[in-house]
Amino acid sequence: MLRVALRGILSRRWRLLTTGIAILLGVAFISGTDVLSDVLTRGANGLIDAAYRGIDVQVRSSAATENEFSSQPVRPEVDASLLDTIRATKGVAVAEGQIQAQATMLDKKGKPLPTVGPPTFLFNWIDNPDLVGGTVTSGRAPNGPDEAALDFKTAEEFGFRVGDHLTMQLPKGPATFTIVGLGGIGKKGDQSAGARSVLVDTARAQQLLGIEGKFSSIVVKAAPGVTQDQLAKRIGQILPDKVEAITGEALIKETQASIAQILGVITDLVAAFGWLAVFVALFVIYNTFSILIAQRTREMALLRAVGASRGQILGSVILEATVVGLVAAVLGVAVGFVLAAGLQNILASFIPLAKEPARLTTSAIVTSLIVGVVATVASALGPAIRATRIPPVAAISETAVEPQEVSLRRKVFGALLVVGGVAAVLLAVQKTLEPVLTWVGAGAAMLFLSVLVIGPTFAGRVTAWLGAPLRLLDRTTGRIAQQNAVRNPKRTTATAAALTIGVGVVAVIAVVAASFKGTFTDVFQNQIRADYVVDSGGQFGTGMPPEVLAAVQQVPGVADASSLRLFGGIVLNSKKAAEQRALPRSELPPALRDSTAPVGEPVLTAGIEPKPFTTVFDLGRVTPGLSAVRDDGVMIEKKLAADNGWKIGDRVEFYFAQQHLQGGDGRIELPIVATYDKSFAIGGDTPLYFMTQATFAKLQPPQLNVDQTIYFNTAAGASGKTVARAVTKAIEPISPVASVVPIGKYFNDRLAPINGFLNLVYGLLALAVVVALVGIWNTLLLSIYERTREIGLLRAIGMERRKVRRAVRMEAAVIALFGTVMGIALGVALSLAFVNGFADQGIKLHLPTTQLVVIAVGGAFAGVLAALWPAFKASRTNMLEAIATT
Amino acid sequence: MSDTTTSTVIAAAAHDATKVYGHGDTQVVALNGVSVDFARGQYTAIMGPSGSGKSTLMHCLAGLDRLTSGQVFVAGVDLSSLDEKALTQLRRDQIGFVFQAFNLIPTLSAIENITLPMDLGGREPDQQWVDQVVTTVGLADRLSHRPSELSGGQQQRVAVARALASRPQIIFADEPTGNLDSRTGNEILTFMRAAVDELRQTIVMVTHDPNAASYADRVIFLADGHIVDEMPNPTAASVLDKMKQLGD
Repeated sequence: MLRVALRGILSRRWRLLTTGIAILLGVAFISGTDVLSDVLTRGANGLIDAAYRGIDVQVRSSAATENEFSSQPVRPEVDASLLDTIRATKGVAVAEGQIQAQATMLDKKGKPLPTVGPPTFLFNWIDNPDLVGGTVTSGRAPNGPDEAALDFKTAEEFGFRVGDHLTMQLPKGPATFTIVGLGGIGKKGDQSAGARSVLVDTARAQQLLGIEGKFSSIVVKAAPGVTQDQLAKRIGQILPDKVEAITGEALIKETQASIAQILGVITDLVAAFGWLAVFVALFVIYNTFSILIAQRTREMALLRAVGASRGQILGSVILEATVVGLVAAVLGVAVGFVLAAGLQNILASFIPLAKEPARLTTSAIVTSLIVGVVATVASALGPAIRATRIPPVAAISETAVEPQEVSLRRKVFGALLVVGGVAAVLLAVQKTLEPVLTWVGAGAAMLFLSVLVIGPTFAGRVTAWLGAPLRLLDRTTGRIAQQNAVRNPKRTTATAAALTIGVGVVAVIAVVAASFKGTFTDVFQNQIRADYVVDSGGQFGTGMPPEVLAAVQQVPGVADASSLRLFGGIVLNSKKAAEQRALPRSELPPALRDSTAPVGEPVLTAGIEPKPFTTVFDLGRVTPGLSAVRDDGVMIEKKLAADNGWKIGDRVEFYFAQQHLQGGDGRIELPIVATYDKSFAIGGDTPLYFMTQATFAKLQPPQLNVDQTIYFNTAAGASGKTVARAVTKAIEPISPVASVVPIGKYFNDRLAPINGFLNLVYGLLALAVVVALVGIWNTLLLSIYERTREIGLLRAIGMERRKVRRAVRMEAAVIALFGTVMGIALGVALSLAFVNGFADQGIKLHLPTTQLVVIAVGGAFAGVLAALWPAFKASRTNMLEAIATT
Repeated sequence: MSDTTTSTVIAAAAHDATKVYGHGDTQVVALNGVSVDFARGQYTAIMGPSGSGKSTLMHCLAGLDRLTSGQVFVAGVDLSSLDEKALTQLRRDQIGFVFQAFNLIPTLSAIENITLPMDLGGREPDQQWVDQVVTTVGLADRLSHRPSELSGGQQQRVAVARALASRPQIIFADEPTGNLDSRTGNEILTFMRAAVDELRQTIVMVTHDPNAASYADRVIFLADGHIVDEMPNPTAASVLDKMKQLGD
């Protein structure tokens, strides 16, 4: 029996190969991301190691808070006076104050560097090769307030050379330096940090950041013979409260862990699409094995007739699936490795990480082999069991046709899947079932499966309807194609269902994204009353000094102008805060686990001048009134108050790291002084707490007390363009990075990164669609093989090759259209649930109709592409073989 | 055979037709310089033991296969001068086919199968003629049925109706009764005879059944790729005798 099975596999190797391609693609993605994650992590780790190796102990504030806008938690500065105490400690060889802050840099034309891409940091130059973590490779180290060193990668990219001028926008205004040296990380200075680094004189850095007398941290080198642990302990004893000393080793580990977490998010996202492709591949394999077994009915029956047991038949099919899965998995690992190496090269141009050679990881191999074999065997199991039910008498009957009626059992099972899927999705989006994503995924998977199960009940009617236009195109060929698409509803459904999955997910993302974008645009259009925005242009935390707003207000023709300052904080007495505290500490980001900051709900605080701000931005009805919004109080959205059961006068307990450092425990209670009823959709689902700018300045770090955005209106009768030009001129000397943008362009710019991300997601989803197309290709090839005689007959009685090809392409178009239409229907249904789940954030459904039609038509065309080769094969059918009478 | 100086109109002809399969040691000569004419309105049976080349001759005459050397004419056209597309169109418009089995497209109804060659060519069927053919074949009440809903005999009748419906120059039948019981087979043969006598059709039929051959106007005997004999006005008994001789 084993020999029969192996012979069978060999004789069908080409047909099985195409089956294998479906699983291969998914496996390649999963193993490829594993390899990529490994190589990126090693690259990042090597870099961190090179940058921090010389540091034996770092002294820093222990009050770290999470921040939406940066990967690392934010820590307040430490007092510069600590430096002398540390230098005096026994076992300290060298100690230096370190400064690190995000900044905005201008290119040679005076334009801010793009916000998408590596962040820009301002560092102080430390004249110690170990503690500065890098080496100047051309020119010399900066010396004096007007000199700077720049990392070589940024210099290369933007054409800076030694001797050029470099302008930066910093909280205390713009500053221009002369570049005196270029360098990089590591002893050789040939590594790049994946960030843009500008190094300047310490005192100048402090002054520009507004942190005179302070350092971001203090880095220490131990005297010979003193271990890191000993020194950290010794320094720790003399440090004041809320300042800690950690060993260089711990610093490296902590930084590596938080980088690994970010890389993990990225690679997990990519791998998720690999898993989706595997899910699609399950459908394709199931279908292929069903067809192969139907075609081999007589062979199976003969084996049964000559004495093979059911178990042996089952075993032979399972063996076949195992071999296919194994071969596909092995090839998948190889393809994945190549894919990873390719992706690494592409990524290298964005993230200049140290280039480590890609390495095949054990986990990639093990996961791939398991996924490949288990997925293939699992999806071949159903057809295999069906094979065991073939009666021996089928060997002598003329034709054995698969039963076409949909059994009651199948209908009931399908109905259960639909009910289960709908229930899972609905309960998950209402957060009754947690974790939400897992349950939504499970529900969606059940719904996609239900398509496979009950699809045959309506496949005939729907494909007849979808295929009708083809008959207008070419009556006879169209009729033949449409009939072929309808003739085996189970096969058609299974083929189409694979496409349904990919298209379904595309549709969900399209609808959800359109709903978010639509809602966002609605909010802006209905609530923003400003004509122009002055955008700080830089990255977060590098806004405009208050002088900019003053300058804008003085330009003739500007009617109302108001600004917004944003920074994070932690709320301790909200409902979400209680939930956060209930989580185990191990679920926090690594750098926060040992933080002395309390655990709570990260929120955004917004500093505004209430009266002018509400003139340019409609927050709806403010209760009890705008005049109630005074210093040392917060104004929140009505819904946020209701969600937490707060009313006006109740106190919100905050924690601000800045306050913590200035003495006390950092906890501050602020009363709710007013509520507003129109959502301010800028922070996404992060709750927003408005306060006066005076309060904001008091609570938040001085270098962040800058305007993020300024909104302004032009006076009646003034020409918008003229005013905008005047404003640009007025603010240029104060903040060269700031730009004046018409409000319409401002939204579009905000939406651009979302669109970029969506394109990436669509690109990744293409994989699932490609796997489904492989399925269509494979099914058509098998069907054509089955219809050899029929096609031969058509050719004999006068159908040209051209028309044979056309018939196959049309059949594929009908099947693909069936798949995409079901996908869009399911996708829209699922996204209704999603959008409903986001309803409490004010998200309203927006259907991207044009996009959905394009997806449907595109799906049909993709099906036609997949049919090109099968169509060619069909047109080359050997007529004589076809009409032979054996 | 002589050339086309005879007074009868030639529907199809082969001149020195040779067909060789494979090469070297595995080379098989299926047809070895066969020349034959098929007059319009004549019913010819081609017989011979298996491997004699009778099927190959029919395939080449019908434009389903190409000769290695020599020429084949249908309606005065040299088939070797036609490209693939023109040959397909010639089969569609000038030739009718009846095969032993699997004659019909299972997804199309009987009437759709009958008019298929014309539909493929974008020609409007001559409705009166189609009606006449359908009535003659006795299928009027079965026209909307799918092949799977018809008996073997009915399926073959649909196939014959299809071959007739487009009024081809010539009909090729390849063991048309091979899969039928003798009663149904005789029905089909009678019907084909009637198509020649009453509808003035030309039929070439490959068969190994002497009874089937007895319905023809003449029988051509093939052996080892040559025409070895020809018998006008055959009877089942005379054909059987001839076959026995050839078998020796």
